[in-house]
Amino acid sequence: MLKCRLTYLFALVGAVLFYIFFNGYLSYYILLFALLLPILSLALSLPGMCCVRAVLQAPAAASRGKPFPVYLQIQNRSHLPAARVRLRMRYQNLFSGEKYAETLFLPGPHGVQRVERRAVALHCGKLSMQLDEIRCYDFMGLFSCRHKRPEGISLFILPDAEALELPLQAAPAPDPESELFSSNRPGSDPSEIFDIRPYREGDLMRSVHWKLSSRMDELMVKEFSLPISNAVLVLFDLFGTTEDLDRTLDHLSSLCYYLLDNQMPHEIMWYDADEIALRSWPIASPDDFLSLMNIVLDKPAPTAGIPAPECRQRLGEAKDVPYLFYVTPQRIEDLSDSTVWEGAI
Amino acid sequence: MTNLQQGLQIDKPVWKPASRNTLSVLLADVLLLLLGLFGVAQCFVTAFSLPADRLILTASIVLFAGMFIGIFSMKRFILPVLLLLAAVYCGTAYWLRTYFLQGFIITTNRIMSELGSHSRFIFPLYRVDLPRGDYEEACTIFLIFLLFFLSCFLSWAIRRRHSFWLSLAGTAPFLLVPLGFTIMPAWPSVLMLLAFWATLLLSRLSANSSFGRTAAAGKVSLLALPAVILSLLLLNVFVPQEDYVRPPSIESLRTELEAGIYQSPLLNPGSADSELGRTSLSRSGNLQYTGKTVLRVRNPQKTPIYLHAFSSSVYTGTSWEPLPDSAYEELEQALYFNPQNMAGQFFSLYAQPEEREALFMEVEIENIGANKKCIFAPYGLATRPEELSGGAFVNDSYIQSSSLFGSRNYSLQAWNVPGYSRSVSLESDAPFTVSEQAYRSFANTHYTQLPQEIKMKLRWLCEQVGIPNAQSATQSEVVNAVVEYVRSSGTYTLSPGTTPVGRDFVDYFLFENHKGYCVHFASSAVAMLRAQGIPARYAEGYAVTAADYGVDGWADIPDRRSHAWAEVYTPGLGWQPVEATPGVHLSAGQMNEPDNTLESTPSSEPESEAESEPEASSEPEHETENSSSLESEPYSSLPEVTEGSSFHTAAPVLLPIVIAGGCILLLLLRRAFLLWRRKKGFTAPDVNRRALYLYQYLTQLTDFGEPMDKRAEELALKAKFSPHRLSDDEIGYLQNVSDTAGRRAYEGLNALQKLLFKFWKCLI
Repeated sequence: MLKCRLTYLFALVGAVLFYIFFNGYLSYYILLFALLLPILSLALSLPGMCCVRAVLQAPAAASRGKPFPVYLQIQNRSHLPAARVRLRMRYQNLFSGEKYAETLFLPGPHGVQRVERRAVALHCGKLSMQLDEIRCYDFMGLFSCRHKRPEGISLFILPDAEALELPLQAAPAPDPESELFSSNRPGSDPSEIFDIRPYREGDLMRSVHWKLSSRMDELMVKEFSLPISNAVLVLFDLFGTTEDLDRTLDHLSSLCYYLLDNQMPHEIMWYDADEIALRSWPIASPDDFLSLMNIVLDKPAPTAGIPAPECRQRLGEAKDVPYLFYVTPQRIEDLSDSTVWEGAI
Repeated sequence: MTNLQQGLQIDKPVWKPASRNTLSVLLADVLLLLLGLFGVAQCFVTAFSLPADRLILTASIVLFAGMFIGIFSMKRFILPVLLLLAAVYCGTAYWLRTYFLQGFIITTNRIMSELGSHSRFIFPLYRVDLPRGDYEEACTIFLIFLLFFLSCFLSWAIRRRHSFWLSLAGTAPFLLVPLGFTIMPAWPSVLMLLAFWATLLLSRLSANSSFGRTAAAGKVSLLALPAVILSLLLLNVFVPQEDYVRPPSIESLRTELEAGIYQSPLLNPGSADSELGRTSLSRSGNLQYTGKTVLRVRNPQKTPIYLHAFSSSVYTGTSWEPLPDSAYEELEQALYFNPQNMAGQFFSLYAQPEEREALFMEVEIENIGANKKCIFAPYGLATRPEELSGGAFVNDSYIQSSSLFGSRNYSLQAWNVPGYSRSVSLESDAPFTVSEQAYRSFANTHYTQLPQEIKMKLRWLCEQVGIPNAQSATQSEVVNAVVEYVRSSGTYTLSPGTTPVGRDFVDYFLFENHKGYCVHFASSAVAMLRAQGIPARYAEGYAVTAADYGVDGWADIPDRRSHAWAEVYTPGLGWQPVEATPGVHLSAGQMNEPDNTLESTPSSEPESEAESEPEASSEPEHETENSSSLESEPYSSLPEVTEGSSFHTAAPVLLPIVIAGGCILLLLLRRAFLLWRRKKGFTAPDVNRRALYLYQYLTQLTDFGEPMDKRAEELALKAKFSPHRLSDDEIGYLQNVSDTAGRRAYEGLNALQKLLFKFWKCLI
């Protein structure tokens, strides 16, 4: 409130000059009043100033390019009003490394005031929001008091998935050695129960669930699970410019959700420059993908690196898989048959 | 939406503003409006003793306040209602036109007579065509009409804008104008206005934010108002008016500051022309004096003295200017003393003991009303620079006070050069002689300069009238001849008129006008002496005659004793005064008085012959002689404090402050208006029109280096020429671009450009 202080200083100088040049009680009175007024202002506004609190609230995650709400809650716990509050907010995208700051002047609240703001993040990442400074001013804007800043919050800005059309085999092939089981088809692996149902003609006796049958007075049989093959490997590069990384993650997200929609669990692999190793993450459900994003977006990505397929070759992990996808900012490539999809992206 | 950076866009916070009809806000506005209106009304009526019915005025105020608060609380139809009221107002004014006009005249007459009785101005009074018994009615009616306007303005300022500055602008003149003429309104009205302003000031921040007036704003006003009133009352109790005594230190500070202000070039245009070392001759017109004492001088020897303020060296034809500092570089190594101390050095080396006793004097000076930045010094100065605290010797021209407010009291030691008559032979190798020779050479080089045209003309004149030059006669012969001629060349008057534009000052006086005062005669004498090869310069200061001293040795010197004279360089003794103004006899106590215009004739001034001047040189056979006479009677011609410039009001200081404040207020009002107009354009219902306003804004930003966005340009063309409306996305794009561009342009500017951007162009 430099403007307020300068204005007051100017007025005080005027009052002093008036006192010097005007020979009368009025000039003396006005000078005294001009000196008293800031004290009066501080006395009236101090309870309100000291009792203001502010917190930030936001959802846990949002999609890139789509609006999400940010709530700013300011509370005045005293019965007396506060004049004005200055908030310094700091935002930081841990993944892209971008930092933003803003200063807000808000009127002093009476009670609790919740302000909703619509925000749109244009880059993927983990967005941390922090109220760096909460400062309350008196009625004249001359004095201020600073409050302890609250804990910051963070939310993940997830990539934007779009619908894909890829000519892939929908059903995954059975793989007796796999520890992954189909969620919609039964099989013959007794290590995992798929379902329990009433007995039907032709069911094997060894599949009867005798304990349950005795309780239910009807024969119940166990359906065993079908182990399926994790036959899709998706490679992507976790380096590049912010825009490249956004597009890569968008493609990755689109591909993953397409595969999951088509009952195709898969594995995602990338080169982690910090651990100097290829990392992989199995994706069998949307939650697995979100967990992957939590790991990927939580730290800054390098701007340059070695492409994942090349890393895989160099590190000798070139196991044959039915589908091997390589996701780049520009396209999704099926490295197993060198097909490239760009149009659907 | 605000673009914090490229990656994150976030809306500005939207604060739900309070409804104007929230009880606390409404109550606060009503109370403030009533306080302001009552304060103003009572101030106005009591300050000028207006004959008005207080009860009717009170009722009117309450009625108007309620009415306008109601009108400005409406959400719609405000303008139609105001127009209707304006029609009713005009109709009523027409119906009551006689009383309205007469009330206006009565009020005006009362104001004029009060102002006139509290100032030296005479204000006109107008005839009232009403019997005296109807004065109160007429005045009351006029005041009601006036209060109607004021109520409307204040209601708008408080209810719609809650603007402290607008409210101050509408109410402050009712207090400031009477105060400017030391008219004190009734004390309760002053307190009411102070309470009104203070409450608005305290509620200003919470009332005026970019989010509109919040619910808390009304509560702040309701909290602040009683607190302010209580504070004012308590202040009145603990610091009562009856016990107030103005501290003497404040009074003396006021006197000092007033004197400094009055002598400033702003209020004293003449003094600007006589800025130390510089005199504008083109503005040397008619003079007036007040007769006030400006200096008090104590000289135990009671000898007539010239108190030298400054000397000017370069004649331009329209002014006297100082020599540039670079001209003195050659003297830095050559002189071991300041040229202003040359006589003092001479006497300290060569004066006999009995001469020391007879000729040495200590002069005390008390500067009451003259330029306090100037140290007025007598000739034959013995006081050296290191001995003078608070003063600085400026080359060979003058001594300047180094104190912030100038020097008021000081004493200087000097030698009475006119009283010296012995001749002295100077040793050729003596340091003093070497220095004197160096300075003499300097003086011969720099102080014989004239513009070529006037030099030739004056040489011709001297030849015509038989004045010898330095080659054909001694210095004293040349000086005497020039002085005699100049004294007889014109008529002394304080109203000679100004020199026509483009004419040489000396040329015009000597060859055409032949009327002038000391400035004219001194300038002419210096010019003629220089034309004849005698180093001379122009000097100003004050002249103290022998008759001015009282019994106690003090002389009261009035402003009319400011004077100009010529100086001639006398080898060994430095610069000595030469009086060229007719009718001036310091030793005889004769000075030209303001009413007298003396006509000088060649034989009318027997005392005006200058005595032979002393000369000192490096040759043993050269002797020093007496300096030139001080027989001439000076007349002050320095521009002086003009008549009646001192008065005990704050007006001279308040006026610039008020003007500056008024300009700032106008600037802020203009800014508020431009921002409002832009906001209206940016939120226009017609999308294409909105787009064009946004584009216009972007165009203004290009003046500050912000490049025009191509897509924005295309959209603007589409908005202008296409039959289609812009889509929401397109207008959103334009709004985003304008937000970002404005902020980016502002952040890239330096401080001055930011001020221009924000307060003149109002682009942010």
